[in-house]
Amino acid sequence: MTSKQSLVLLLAFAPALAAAQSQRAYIEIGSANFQPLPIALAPFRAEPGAEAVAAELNEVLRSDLVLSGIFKVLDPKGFLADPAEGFTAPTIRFSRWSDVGADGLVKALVRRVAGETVADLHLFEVRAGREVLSQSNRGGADATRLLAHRAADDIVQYYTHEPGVFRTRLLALRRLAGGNRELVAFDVDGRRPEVLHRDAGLVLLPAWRPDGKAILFTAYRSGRPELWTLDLGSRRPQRLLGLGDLTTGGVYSPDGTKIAFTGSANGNSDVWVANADGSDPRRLTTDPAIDGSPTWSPDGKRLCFVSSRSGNPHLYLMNADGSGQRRITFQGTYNQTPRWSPRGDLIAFTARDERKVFDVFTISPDTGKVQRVTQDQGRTNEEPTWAPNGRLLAFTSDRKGRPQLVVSSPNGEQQTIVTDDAAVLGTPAWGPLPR
Amino acid sequence: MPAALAQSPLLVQRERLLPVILVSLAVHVGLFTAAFLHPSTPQVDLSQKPIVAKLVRLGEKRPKEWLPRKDEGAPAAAAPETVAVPVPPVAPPAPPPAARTTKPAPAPPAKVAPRPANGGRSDVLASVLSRVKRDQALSSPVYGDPNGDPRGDASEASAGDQYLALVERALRESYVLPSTLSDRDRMHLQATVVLYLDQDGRVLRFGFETKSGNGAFDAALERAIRAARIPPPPAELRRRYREEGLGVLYRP
Repeated sequence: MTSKQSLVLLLAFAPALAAAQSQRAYIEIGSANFQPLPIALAPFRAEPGAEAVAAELNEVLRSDLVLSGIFKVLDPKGFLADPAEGFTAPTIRFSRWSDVGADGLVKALVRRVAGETVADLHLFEVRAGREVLSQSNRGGADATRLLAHRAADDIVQYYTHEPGVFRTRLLALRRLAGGNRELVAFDVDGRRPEVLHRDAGLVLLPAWRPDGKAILFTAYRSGRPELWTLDLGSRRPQRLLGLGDLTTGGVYSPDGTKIAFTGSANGNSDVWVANADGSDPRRLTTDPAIDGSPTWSPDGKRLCFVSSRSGNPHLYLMNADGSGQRRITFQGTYNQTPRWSPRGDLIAFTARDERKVFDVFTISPDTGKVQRVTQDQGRTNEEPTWAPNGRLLAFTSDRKGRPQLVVSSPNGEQQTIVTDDAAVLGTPAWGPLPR
Repeated sequence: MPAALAQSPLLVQRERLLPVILVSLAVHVGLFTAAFLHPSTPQVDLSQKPIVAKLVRLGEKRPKEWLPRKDEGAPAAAAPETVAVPVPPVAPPAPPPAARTTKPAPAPPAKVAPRPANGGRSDVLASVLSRVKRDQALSSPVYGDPNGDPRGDASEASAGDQYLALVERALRESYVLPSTLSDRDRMHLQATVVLYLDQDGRVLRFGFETKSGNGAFDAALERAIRAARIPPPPAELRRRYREEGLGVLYRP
């Protein structure tokens, strides 16, 4: 072959060689840093006579949005926009709001009409320069906080496509100085305490029925722990079930047709299940160790419970019929009070760490990965309960002295003490979404 | 025609050139057809988890049977709640003359900077608080690898492509998404962006190879790319990243 032929052949294959060498490298980026969405609440405008209501509405809404953990509510001191600008997109200089870093903008006009409060709420996307939500809500003179909670729910719903939880209630046991116990319901922001039940004896471990119309709790009226229900309409307690020496920690299945509880019929503590009316109790665990504290998966097909069959209390999973029991926690020596998230992805629980401090943790039932929620915040953070949208946790904490309610994001980055009650609070239970 | 001239390569001799041209044509046609029909595949199998190199931190190994701790420490309490930190009593620099005894005045804490006329107490308080925090940090055990590096930032490590690991870390540091992103979006959204880097690692230009369909997500990626500080590529890779670019698949 001549040099000319070689040269031509080389040129003929040159594109192939070049193509083989020019493949682009790719990398994958995940695990984003999620940060709250910056949102601005413009000072609400008020017609004469509604100024105080407008201010309260703004304050409660601001507090709710902060509590949600998904918003960064901007300080109004830094606002640059003209306070007199209007409520429609063409009348708003969005560049002023963008300059202060806002992605969302909330404006409202508050009026008093025939003794009622009317709040016209407007939500704007600053980057797009358009209105995305417009609502007019009204309520009685004492409904200002509820109007604000509803607005917060609507804003959360718009951004996340999931329901907000600010019209739900947090139930907690309040231990009074004289020894009496009360079941008290609070707003999510810890306000508006309402005593649902008062008992001279010991009551604990309340749980909501999924329809929100009744509560299941443990009481010692007969001298031993039994399950009782409280109808929230009549406020009448009624004994539901008592088995042997111990019947406690009852929780409703997600469809409300069954209850799971800790029972001891033969001197051995086990996980039991029964119909919601207390009939047909069936034992699910038979291990001679202490088994109890069940919690349902959101699909009702599985239960998580605590067992000391390995020597220390750890979390276990099983099917709703008691089959397929397997251990899921292998760290720590004292894991208790599991609560399955309504989203199904995490189970929150209390654990004692190597420094003998109680903290709240979460574990993935699928991967077994344990993550810490609280750390170096008092000596006891315990008894977590999930918001019905699974985006928030509530638990009790003694970081300020007396155990009080804390609302937290699931990773613990945003925690807020919501109560400052004179009494000790315990065993919180987050209520369902309003129907 | 002279014999020497007949051997000149500048003379076109169809009978010698034609087969070569036909072969070349056939090869080109075959290559282009193959390139057109065969879908391009990335060099890296994107369904696989990338292998990342991290600088391992020097520290003692935390026992596996212990519950995990957060590396950053406790989050700050939400406003307006403030955590009361016990502050040791600090003697003022100008002691009241009448109340003094023969004992010498207590010396102020060491390393306290001279205070201005106003706000001096807050400076002293800030100094004490920072010292308390520093002491607490020093006394807390650092968990990592006994053979790690004092400047390391990971407690665990795995081997991998060094430069791509650095690029990944740089991109992740600026990768911020709004918390309002729904669960469904977090599970399903993805977008591929091609970055073209100069010799200093600066992004000359970038473009979406595939968009996610979610404007907020794509806008967040653009912000993340503009904020990223990518290290300079190795000399042998500069031309490649400048001309062919680096593909980045973003997922929440």
